[in-house]
Amino acid sequence: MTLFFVLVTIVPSLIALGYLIETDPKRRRAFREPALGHERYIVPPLALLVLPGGATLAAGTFGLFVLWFSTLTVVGWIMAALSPDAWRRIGARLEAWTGLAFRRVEGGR
Amino acid sequence: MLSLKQNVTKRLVAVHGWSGVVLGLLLYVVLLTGAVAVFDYEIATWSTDRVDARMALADNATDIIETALTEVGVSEVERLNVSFAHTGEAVVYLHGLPNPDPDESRSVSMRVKIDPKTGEPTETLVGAEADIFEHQARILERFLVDLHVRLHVPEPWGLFLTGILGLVMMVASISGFVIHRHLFKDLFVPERPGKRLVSFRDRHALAGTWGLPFAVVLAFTGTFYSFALSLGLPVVSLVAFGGDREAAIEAVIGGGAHGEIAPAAMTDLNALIARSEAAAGNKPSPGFQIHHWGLEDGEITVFHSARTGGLLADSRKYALATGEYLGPSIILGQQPSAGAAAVELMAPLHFGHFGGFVSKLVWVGLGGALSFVTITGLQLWARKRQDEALWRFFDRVIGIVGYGLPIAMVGAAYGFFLALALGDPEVWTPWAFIIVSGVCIAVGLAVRRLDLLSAIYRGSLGLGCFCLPLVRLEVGGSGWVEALAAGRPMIPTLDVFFFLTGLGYLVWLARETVLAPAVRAEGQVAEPAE
Amino acid sequence: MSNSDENTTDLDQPSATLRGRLTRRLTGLSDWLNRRPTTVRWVLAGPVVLIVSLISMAAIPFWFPKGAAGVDHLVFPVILFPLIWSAFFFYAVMSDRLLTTSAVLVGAIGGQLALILVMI
Repeated sequence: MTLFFVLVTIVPSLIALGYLIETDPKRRRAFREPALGHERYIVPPLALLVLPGGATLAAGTFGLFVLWFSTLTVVGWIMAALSPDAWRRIGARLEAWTGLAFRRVEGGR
Repeated sequence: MLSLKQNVTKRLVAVHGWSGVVLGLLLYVVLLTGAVAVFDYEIATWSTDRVDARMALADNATDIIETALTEVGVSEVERLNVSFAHTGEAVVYLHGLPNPDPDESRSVSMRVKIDPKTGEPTETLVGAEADIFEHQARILERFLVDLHVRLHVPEPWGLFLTGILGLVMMVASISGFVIHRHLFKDLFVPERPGKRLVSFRDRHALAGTWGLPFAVVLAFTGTFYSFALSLGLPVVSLVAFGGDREAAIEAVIGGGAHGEIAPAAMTDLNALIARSEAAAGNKPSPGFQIHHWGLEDGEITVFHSARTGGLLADSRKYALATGEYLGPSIILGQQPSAGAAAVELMAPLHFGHFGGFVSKLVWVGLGGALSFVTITGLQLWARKRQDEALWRFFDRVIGIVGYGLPIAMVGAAYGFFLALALGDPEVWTPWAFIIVSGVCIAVGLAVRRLDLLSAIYRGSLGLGCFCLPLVRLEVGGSGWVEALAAGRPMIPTLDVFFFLTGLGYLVWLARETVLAPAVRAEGQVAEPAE
Repeated sequence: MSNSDENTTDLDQPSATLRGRLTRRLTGLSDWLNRRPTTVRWVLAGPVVLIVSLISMAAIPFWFPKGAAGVDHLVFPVILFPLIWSAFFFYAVMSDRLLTTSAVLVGAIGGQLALILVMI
């Protein structure tokens, strides 16, 4: 049951975080990624990022909040620590394994 | 992060660096063993490997108490505690019993173990309260936990040492936060390739930034656990109670009523526990504690873990004579208070056990991430000073401790399992740790090439992890089917974890050594921008 | 600094009032501290801060509200010890004025010690 609640709260936050990481200008510069073709949204992904945590607090489930926040710091670190190249390799492997198209968030390519 | 005067920043950088250099390696030991100790219960289950199902308290509590009381020969008990050993037996601790020696006024404690299948007592032990706690079956777990809690340094110095390490961790976290110039700008910038100095800085800063909130939480709560009883209680009892520790404990925890209390019949314990379990969300209780069994003011606290989504334990208190619910159990004082709530919060925030397996897994991740921060910070310091022989040697020492500690922990597990079959695990678990550490240090000093050394370490760690489940099975540990059937999924889970970790290290090693030339030929990494 | 030195160098002058002498003493002390900043800071951030935080822990039970269960004044000093220590430590490291910092820390020791001795 705990696992279910953790997934429900963490997945939206991680999706938002993934967008923020992928579109981060300094990260793109540092790894010679092409400039983002469109405007980078800040408020909607940030809202999506913090909303589940806020919901756990509003519901008074402090255990879930701590769990959401701690998972975010650990998984967020791993997501940020993987270079764009590493993500591409993971994407390619997923693509190969599942046969599904691994759609990238960015519009540049 | 903050804009500071240059000389203030310089001092903070010095504090951050030197606190790490002086105590960072010990901090790493505490952090990594702490990450492992999160699964202390699971390690105990996995290593002692007793799969006998234990009794349900709601069906057997009355019998357990009766058996223990008959065995001891009393009808009233000041304090009584029931829990389960890892061997599946119910363990009853009885405190405040009359001393069998009529000349001695000090009360004694007793431990009675009850077999789950027959309901018969299997072992009775009399002694002082501190001496009768169950240790026997938990040697490997206790060894690792002791390493985390006091680095095996005798009392009270071990606790002082880990308390100081907690303070150092807090200082390093806060100073790191303050001196980081682009905390938010660098939040998503991974290690830039090339293994240059900036790569080491990126690596350390990124992990440190993400780890910051829980580094502070874990350092704070850990310092509390180290200092609360070794330093805080003595100081507070000295000023507030003239040094009377007992009076201080009684004021904080709340002693029972004194004087004559009439005997009374006790309520049906099985029904009471069933009621408590139903009210706590139908989770079986892991044990209970009783004050004044057989007396009219008798009380029972039935332990329950936190509810789904909750942070604090959900234990409940009942009157034993009437069965009336008295409210949630309070760890300090007689009624709810901010102080008791604050102390209660320390446990879930430090141990991460409030959400079962999931939260424990996350806590292992936190511990691992913070160990990584410590090691990369030390590496950064040493790499910055590569032109000095002393710091080149320090760089080597970081590698020796960084890899040596996990290898020695795995070594301790080997020592434990082999001694289980051949000798005394109590002796050989620590010895295996010391011997393997010694070998790691010797190899670390003897092998000149650092890349070769790292390959040797990774190979040993990989092989050690990979073979550990086989050794466990070889010395008579139960198989996966047997363990699953007995309701102990932790045994195959940890086996699989060791298999995969070992395999991961071996594959990583193989890719870097055997396949490295091929990978390199595939394409050069683009030279990164600053 | 140099101004006050000039004003109060001659002890025979009637200008050696109480205020003047105090200023001169403090200036002298400040100079003495500033001549060896590293040592002073080590002493302040090390043993002095440790003593301040230990004495704070011992003094808090006398003024902290006891709370509903009568335990808060005993529990919070123990819980807050790491935070008290960290706060004083960073103050000692980050503050630029050694004289003021020393005065605050020594004052914290003296004041709280007096409180403990009066209350005990």
